[in-house]
Amino acid sequence: MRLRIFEGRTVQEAMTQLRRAMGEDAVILATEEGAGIVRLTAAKDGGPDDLADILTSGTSLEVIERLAVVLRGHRVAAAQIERLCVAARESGSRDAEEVLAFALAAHCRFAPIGRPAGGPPDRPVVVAGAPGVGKTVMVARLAAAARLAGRPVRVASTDRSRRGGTAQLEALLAAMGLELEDLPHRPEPADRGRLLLVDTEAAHPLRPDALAAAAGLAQQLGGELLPVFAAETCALEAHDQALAWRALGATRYLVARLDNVRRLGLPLAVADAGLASAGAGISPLVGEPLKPLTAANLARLLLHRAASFAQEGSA
Amino acid sequence: MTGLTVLASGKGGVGKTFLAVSLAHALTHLGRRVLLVDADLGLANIDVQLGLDESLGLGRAIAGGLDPATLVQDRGGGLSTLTGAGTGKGLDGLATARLEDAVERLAGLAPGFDDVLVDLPSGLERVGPAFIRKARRLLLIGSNEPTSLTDNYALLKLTRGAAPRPLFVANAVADAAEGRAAHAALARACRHFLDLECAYLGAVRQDRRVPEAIRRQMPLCLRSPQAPAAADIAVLAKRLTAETPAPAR
Repeated sequence: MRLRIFEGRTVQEAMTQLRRAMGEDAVILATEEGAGIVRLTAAKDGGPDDLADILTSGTSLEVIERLAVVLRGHRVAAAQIERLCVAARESGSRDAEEVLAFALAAHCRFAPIGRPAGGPPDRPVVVAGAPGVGKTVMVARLAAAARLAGRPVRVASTDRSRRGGTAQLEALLAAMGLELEDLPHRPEPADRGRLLLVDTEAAHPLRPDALAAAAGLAQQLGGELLPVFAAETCALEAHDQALAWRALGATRYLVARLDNVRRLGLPLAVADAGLASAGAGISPLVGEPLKPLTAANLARLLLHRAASFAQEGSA
Repeated sequence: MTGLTVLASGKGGVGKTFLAVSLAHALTHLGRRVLLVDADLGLANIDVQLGLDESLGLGRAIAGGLDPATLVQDRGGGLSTLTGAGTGKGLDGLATARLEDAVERLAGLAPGFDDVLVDLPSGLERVGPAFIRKARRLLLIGSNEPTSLTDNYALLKLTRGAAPRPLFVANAVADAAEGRAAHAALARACRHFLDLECAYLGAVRQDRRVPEAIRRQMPLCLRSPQAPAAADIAVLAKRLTAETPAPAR
């Protein structure tokens, strides 16, 4: 509300000033007369120069409350909601999506995988994860993305124990004209310029040695240990596993089947464990590239999905 | 039904804490059991005005997950207090979920008293609005200054639709007419722009004995019961109780 005071010798004189300065829709809140002076106090609201409004509704309580409801709907842990809400207060924006993106950027790390063709070669990537999270399809996806970007790529696998474990990968690779290769024991000079992707045997989350085997391989190859999480995994489980992967040297993670879930507690739980988001699988089609998760698009997705469960009253 | 009676102001320095303390005492003089809550934790004003020395308080209780009920201190004469000292960090450091929980737990104390007065931090930060949304009665404190008018208006605009109907108290005004003028201007703005009725509880006149009482850390009604401000506050207390009659005992 903008408040202005006008003085004149008569009511008409003060009114003329008032209408000239504030227009017809100003409301007179008070009229005082004394010592030959008429004083009018007038107000206008809702204009762009409503300073009190502009300065106070920046990170309004409503927006932050709404975000807390959205995050609760996604089954984000209460402690993380608290941290995000406290961060959100600093955003200064009125827009829920912007405020959430600001809070996510402050609390989660985003490090999208991939680079434009022609740059320096990537380190080998050892794709790891619990049984059934979608490692093999993720390897094929990464290979397809490299092929589409015109980058030479080779793919190997340690998943030899499972019958048909390599058959699926071989079939997927064949579709893009690639063959499954033998795993090198150490980085070979001939590999320079070629991206090496390694699919691994499922790492049972309750068996530390299984996780350590994948980590050991990444170390041996001088590569990156890149765990995969399935979007539908319980967020709390994922958080525990992410902590374990991080302790073994992982810095980023991939999330598979993000298209299959509405509740997005998992990416937030994994981020809370300190892993940066490298990308998300959003389609059953292997040729569909991984989508980078950023603070901005994750915020948009969280709000978009929340709208669907809010409608059902199941938030 | 008992609930929280919150004392709020969009602008600081209008005498909100003084009113909370004085009203609490005046209500006990009417035979009511009163709990006075200092939610203005950053400053812990009530401690100073009552001459209390607390080592524990609301902020720490909430931060540590304690039940606020265990921190209520019986001061005798029907007055209990729950004050905000003992923490460096105010309620505004709490996340929204925690803050809501804190307000909820404080509201849970209300059935044990005839009145629960909550002294809120002034301004539009989260703590004030969070309490206002849960309050049964909203006492809006202001002066006849234009800044007090615009800041109170901003607070009502922010909490519109979720707040109980505001009851305006004009503090530190020259006379009753000035108090009514202060209310009339705010009420007109609310009616016009917010479609909201702002009622009038009354005025407390400017009185040099008020700062004296605060300096001596003595409630005004004990130190200067004959002061015009003390008489005004007694009237406000009566009007408040008329709105919620004390249960027959």
